[in-house]
Amino acid sequence: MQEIVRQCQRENPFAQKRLYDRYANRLYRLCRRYVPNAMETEEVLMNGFLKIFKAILNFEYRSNDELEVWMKRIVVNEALMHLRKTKKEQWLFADTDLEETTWAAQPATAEGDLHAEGIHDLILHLPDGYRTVFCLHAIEGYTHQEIGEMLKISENTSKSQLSKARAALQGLLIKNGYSYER
Amino acid sequence: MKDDKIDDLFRRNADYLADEPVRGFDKDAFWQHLQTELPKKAERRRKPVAWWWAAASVLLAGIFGGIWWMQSPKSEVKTLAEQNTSAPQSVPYEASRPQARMAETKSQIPAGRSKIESAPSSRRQGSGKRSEVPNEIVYSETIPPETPPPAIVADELPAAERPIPIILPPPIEVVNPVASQKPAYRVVHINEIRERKQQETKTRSRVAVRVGLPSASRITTQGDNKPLLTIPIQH
Repeated sequence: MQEIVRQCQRENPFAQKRLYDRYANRLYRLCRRYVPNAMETEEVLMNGFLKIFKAILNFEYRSNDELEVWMKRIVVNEALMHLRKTKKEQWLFADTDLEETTWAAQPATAEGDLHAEGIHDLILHLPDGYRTVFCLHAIEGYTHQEIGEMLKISENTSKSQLSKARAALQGLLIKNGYSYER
Repeated sequence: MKDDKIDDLFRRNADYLADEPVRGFDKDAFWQHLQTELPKKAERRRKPVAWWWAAASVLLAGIFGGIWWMQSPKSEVKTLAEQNTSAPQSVPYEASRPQARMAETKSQIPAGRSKIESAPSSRRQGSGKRSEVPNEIVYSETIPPETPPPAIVADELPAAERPIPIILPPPIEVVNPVASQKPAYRVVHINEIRERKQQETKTRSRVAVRVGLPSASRITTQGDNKPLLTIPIQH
C-alpha cells in the first residue's frame, strides 16, 4: 500500500485506480450512512475522491489504518458539508417524533434474523440529526467533543441526539424481529 | 450496557459489510466518470514545465545568436557614407589570378607587362556606363614577344624556300598566384548597385522610336530644327 500511495503522489493513474478499487465500496457505504439519497451519495463520493487524490500529494504514509482513517475523515467532512448545504443548518435541531416516522425496514428472514444489509439500512431511516451523531460516535468512534466541533453543536446536544438515535434503532430492531440480550 | 451493545452491533455490521459490493453502485462506471475529472489537473501541472523549456530554448538561441553576431567580421558592414569617402580611388595592381577573365581581343593587349586595372567609381565619374562599374575589373594581359610570329618569318624567305606555315597555338600563360601581389577589393553597397540598375532601366525606357508621320497636333516650322530623336545607347 505504501508503494501505491507513493505512485499516487506522482499522479500515476494505475495507482489511483488501485487505491480506488481498494476503498471504493467502503467509502461508498460510509457516504451512504450520512447521505441516504443514492445520487447525492455518488456526488459526495466523487468530490471526496477528488480531494483525496489532490491531498495525497502531501500525505505522509505511516500505516494502512492511518491512511484509511485519513480518507474516511475527508469523505465524512465532504458528506457533512453536503448536508449543511442541503439542509441549511437546521437539520440537526429538528426534534423528530419517531412515532410519526414511517419505517420501511427490510423484511425478516425465516429464522427471525435480519440480514446484515437490513441492519445497515435501518440507519438510513433515522432522521438526519440522529443518524449523523450515531454514525460519528458509534461507528466512526468520534467523541462528543469532536462531534460538537464538527457539527458546531454542544456536547449535550450531541449526547441527546445519540440517546434518541439508540432508542429509535432499538425499537426498529424489535419491530423487525431482531432479538438481542438486554 | 444496552447502549454499548447497540453500538457494537452496528459497528461490527458496518465492518462486515465494508468491502462487500454495494447494490446499485456500479464501481467501474463511477471510476470512468471519476477518471475524466482527474487528468485535467495533471495537465495543468505539466504546462508550466513546457513553458520553462520553451523560454530556456529561446534564451539559448538568443545568446548563441548574439555571440555569432559579435564574432562576425564587421568589415563587411560598411555604410554608404564610408564607401563614398573610400570608394573613388581606383586601385591598380599587378596580379593575375586563375579566375581572372581574360581580355577577348589580342589587339587591345599593350606591350610590356601584364597589367590589371580596376575601373574608377561610377559615382565619382557621374556616368552610368557598365565598364565603369567599380567592382567590375577589366583584365588585360600581355604576351612577351619572345619569338616572331610565324607569318612574318614566312614573308621574308623566298617563295621556294618558304616552309609550310605552322600556326602555333596561342601561348598558355602560367600564372603563379602565390607570387602575385595581394589583390585589393572594394566593398560596394547594395544601394549603389540598385541605383545603377535603375539608371539602366530608365535609359532603356527612353529608347522609343515613332514610325510614320508626325502627329497632327504638332506642326513643325523651318526654325524648328531640333534633332528628331536622341537615343542614348550604352554598351
